[in-house]
Amino acid sequence: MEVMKAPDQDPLDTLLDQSLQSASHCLHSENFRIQFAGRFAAEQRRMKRLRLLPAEMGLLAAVIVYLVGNPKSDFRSVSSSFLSLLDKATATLMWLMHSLLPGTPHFISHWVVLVGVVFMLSFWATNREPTVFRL
Amino acid sequence: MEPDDAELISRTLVERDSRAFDQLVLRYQAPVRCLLRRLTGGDEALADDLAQEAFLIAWRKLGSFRNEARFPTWLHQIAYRTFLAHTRGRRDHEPLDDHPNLGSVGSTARGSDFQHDLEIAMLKLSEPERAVVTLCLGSSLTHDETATVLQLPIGTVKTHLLRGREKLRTLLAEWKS
Repeated sequence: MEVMKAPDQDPLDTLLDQSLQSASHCLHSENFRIQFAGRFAAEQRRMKRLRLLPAEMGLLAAVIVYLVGNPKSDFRSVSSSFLSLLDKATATLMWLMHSLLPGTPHFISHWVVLVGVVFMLSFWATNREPTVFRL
Repeated sequence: MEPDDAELISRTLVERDSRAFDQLVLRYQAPVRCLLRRLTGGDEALADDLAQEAFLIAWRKLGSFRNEARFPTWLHQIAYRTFLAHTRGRRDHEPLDDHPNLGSVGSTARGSDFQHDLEIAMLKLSEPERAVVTLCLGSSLTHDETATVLQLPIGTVKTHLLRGREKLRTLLAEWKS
């Protein structure tokens, strides 16, 4: 960048202005660019993982609504293998809860387990590449 | 014809074009790194690390950029805040004037490296003076823009600039002839 020199400007001032500007504009480095590109790509992947896509949220909501809202499909009567696994895991967790806290009302332990399962599902969904989990 | 900042920002946001952001990095890496090098007392590795961090923050927050300021002003502001966050988090913060490997003004062969002497002289300035001189005279930001970047009143910016420039003139008086 060219520095305009006033007619009566001190030569030292001119040198100073020129040097300060050239220092600010001559620091281009391909190395910096390459290093940043690597970090940038990693950051983009991280942001993608963190982004909970609407489709994933929709799927989670559907699962929750299905599990909680459908009177015919409580955990014990569903035959799909996924829900069957979930059923066993849930039943084990509920048994554990009742063993550890015998006086806990049934609906509280049910909700605690349900929230835990939803939390784990969310965690699993948000820590995967969205394209894998996208419907 | 080179696309302007607004077009590159738009392409980054709308088309998620990372090459557009790469062009912004290419365009502004030099002034941002220069500012951070001055602020870190010539620690090139740290300055580059902070510059990378600043560009990543800029990318994350690009959606909140509203053209209220020019893009370089906004970017310098992020860089300065990144530096402040780093110094706040550093316990063993030493005054930059005590840096052992800097030599002194005039220690280089006369006529060989004004730039080197200038960098040493810059370290004799206070941190705000160094930042103001770098932004106003190096990055060609206006007083208003510099005040925005450093969150200082404009009168204070002008004072720092005058004092900083005067100190540099005194420290580099040998080069007058």
